[in-house]
Amino acid sequence: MTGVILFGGFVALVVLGIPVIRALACSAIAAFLYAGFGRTSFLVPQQILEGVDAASLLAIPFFIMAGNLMNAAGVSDRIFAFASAVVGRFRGGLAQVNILASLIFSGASGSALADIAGLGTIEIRAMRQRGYNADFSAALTIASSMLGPLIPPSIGLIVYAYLSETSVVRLFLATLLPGLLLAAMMMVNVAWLARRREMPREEPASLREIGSTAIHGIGALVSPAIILGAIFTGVTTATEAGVLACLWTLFLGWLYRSLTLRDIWNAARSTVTATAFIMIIVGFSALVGWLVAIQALPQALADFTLANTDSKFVFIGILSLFLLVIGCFIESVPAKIILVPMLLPVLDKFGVDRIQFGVLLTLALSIGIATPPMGVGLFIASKIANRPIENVAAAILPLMLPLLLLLVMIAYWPALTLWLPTLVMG
Amino acid sequence: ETWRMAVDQSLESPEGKGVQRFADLVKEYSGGDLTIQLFPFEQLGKTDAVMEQLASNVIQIQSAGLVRLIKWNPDIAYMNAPFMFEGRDHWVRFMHSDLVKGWFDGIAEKAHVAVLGDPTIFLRGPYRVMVSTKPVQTIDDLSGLRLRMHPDDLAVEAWKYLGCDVRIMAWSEVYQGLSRSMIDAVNSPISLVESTRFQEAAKNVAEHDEYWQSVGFMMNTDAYAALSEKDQQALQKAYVEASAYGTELVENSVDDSIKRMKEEGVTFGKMETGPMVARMQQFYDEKDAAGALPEGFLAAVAATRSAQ
Amino acid sequence: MPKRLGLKRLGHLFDVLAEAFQQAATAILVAILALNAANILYRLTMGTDIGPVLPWTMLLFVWMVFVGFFPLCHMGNDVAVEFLTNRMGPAGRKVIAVATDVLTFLLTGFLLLQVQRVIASQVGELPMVGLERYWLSVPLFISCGALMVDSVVQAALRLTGRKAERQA
Ligand code: NA
Ligand code: NA
Repeated sequence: MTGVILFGGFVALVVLGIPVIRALACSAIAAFLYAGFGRTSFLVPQQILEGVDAASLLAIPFFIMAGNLMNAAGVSDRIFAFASAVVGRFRGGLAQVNILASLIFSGASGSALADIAGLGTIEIRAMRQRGYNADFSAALTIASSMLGPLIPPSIGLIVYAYLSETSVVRLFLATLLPGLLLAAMMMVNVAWLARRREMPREEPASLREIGSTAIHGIGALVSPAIILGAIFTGVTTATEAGVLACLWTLFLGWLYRSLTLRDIWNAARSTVTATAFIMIIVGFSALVGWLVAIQALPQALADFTLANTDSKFVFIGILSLFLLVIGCFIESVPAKIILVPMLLPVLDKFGVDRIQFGVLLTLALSIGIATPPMGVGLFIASKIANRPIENVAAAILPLMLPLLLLLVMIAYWPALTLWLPTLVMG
Repeated sequence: ETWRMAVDQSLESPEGKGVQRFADLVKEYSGGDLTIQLFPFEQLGKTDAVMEQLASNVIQIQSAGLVRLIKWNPDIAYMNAPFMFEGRDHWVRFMHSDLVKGWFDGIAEKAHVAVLGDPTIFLRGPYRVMVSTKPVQTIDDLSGLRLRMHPDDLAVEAWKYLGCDVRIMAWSEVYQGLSRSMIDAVNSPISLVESTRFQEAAKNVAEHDEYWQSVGFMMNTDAYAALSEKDQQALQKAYVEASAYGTELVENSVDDSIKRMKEEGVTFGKMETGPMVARMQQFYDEKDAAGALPEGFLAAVAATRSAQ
Repeated sequence: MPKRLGLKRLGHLFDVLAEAFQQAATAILVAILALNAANILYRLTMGTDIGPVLPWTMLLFVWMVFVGFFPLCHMGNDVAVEFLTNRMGPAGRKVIAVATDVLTFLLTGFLLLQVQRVIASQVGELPMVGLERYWLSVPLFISCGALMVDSVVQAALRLTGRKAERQA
């Protein structure tokens, strides 16, 4: 019943048009009170603080700020122009550009939301100008942002490595192939949609144009290299790399004479709005997480599964489905903190590899960003595109295909995740 | 009756298995009256949040390092005073002193949180080491050594005093920091090294015994008082046996774990701690002169130096 | 007439207040970025950290989010699904908007009721910062206080027809 109040109440309030933070807050508090914790209500602000006071999420404002500065300084335009010169000529060219740009961006960013907030603005604007459907543009921006947590660096994997006592490097290697495969599958999927929907194509760019956009955009194109370089040489931590990305973009803005102090302040201002929105949701979802944990709901599910099946095949199927559903309701960091310790013993019993599971978990929970009712990515992209959430949510359905296909592949084809780390690290 | 118990380690760790045994034994000895429901890791929140839940009886018991009690008395930090105690026995005697008893009593009164039984019998550690990318043996090796620390005033101050370049870094970034030579070293109980995988990136492990640790079982005093005498005894008895079991697991697992890590090419050594103890003596003297040590601390340390 | 003017003026006052909160949160973000940028550059040139940057960064980060909470809600950046409301007509939209104000009032009120317990329980100094732990939560309660009064003002403006619902 607590679960019904929590999830049912939330969905009902959101559908009625109550803003999401307040809908989440009210249903979470109602469930909390119903569960009999009324005498210790101070736990509500305590858990909000727990959610917000998380060093592993500090990278969020940094990378969002970097994205906003890239917009303001015209750096994202340059990434976009280059991607456009390379793949714009194909039918649905700008849609392909959206994916390629995210792939480049994901090598520098550990979070999908930074991609949506940063690159998304440009991608959506450009696609709309060229006559693409606005809902599709926003939806594709969300779908392609899923590359962020899969291509290293990835905030989510760092958190999982800590919880599961696995190696971060091994996890990074494990996600690399699935990440590239996802990009390829998305491009094929979009090519097919482009043909069916007769999307426009751009003028083919000559080699010279490709070269000139590359030179024009060199500062942007090397920024992933600088960020990864800083992390890999130990100049910064993965979190601080976001600050370095900001510094680098400021430098480019100075170089291109395209940034004013007012631009910088405005970039910070909108970073605050996006970060506060995400982190307040994280705060209340920590409360949800606490409630779910103290009621031992995942434990009940684990026991139920163990009692009802001894087939690894069935177990992985149920598990994937369960993670997808959880991802729709709880933000991925609190979700991991609750789920990982409870699921690890069950995983071991079924002989599921922890590295493989880490990738599965990260992808499944990321997909939640794109799906109602709690899809933060969905909210942000809808806001940028100024389109109703439900329209964008509908447009994202056909784009889910590669994501779900990849999820199934990760679940049932261990070599996809385990081959590379085993090759490199033994 | 069900007690909720937060556990600051994974249930698969040797320590966690000891706690699991505690839960099983409580059920057995109470004749099924009292069930302990376990919440490993940070499911209910990080340290401070869990302690607040303990104080308000949302959870009834928690296993964690005793130093967590610092929340209600800053003096508690000195239980982990680096290079102050001559060995585990000295530390245990100190922990049994009237000074520490007074600290515990004050906390019980103020926060309704008390320790169960003798809080020194469940070993954590069993000893502390430094995991580093280059060999560290003498006090000179500490000079300029980039040592990762969690935010902890006393530890940071002490290791700076020993010459280290102390870096505050989130736990989740330590692996990366070691493997990308952003930092050179990190301190840890030996039993936790292997599970962190730090030794993949830093192949030198040196015992330094900066201080001694145990797993404290901290409980809400109201919850305890509300139990029948039989259940209280069940808790006490289960604690003693589970501690012995957990300690044995911790000690045995360390041998196995060291063996496995040696096969991975990790080298093990022991630091020459004499000069560090001497340098730290100066540190504590300076602190004492500045009136910054807890009242009666140095006296209690001295009084417990040898067995009475 | 003066009463009418007073309510409008009050509404305007809260617009100004929300803007001030937003600017303050922005200033905190800029401080965080400057602190960390300085630390990276210092480390690159001097080989060590300027100090315990992480604990201070975390404090400022939490403050930024909590200070940003009030303007987030006031300025309509707490996103809503408008599928139903867009089909409701002005009256339906007004009902939902006022319901949102009521929920906001209840929510912030509920949180503010906890202030005393929070301050009593969130004790202990933040390591390396030295402030008591409840200082992390103080901006949350300040935001809640502003939002609570604001929800009354906004509901009054709506019910007296001085504020119409925007349509997406
Ligand atoms: Na994209
Ligand atoms: Na990434």
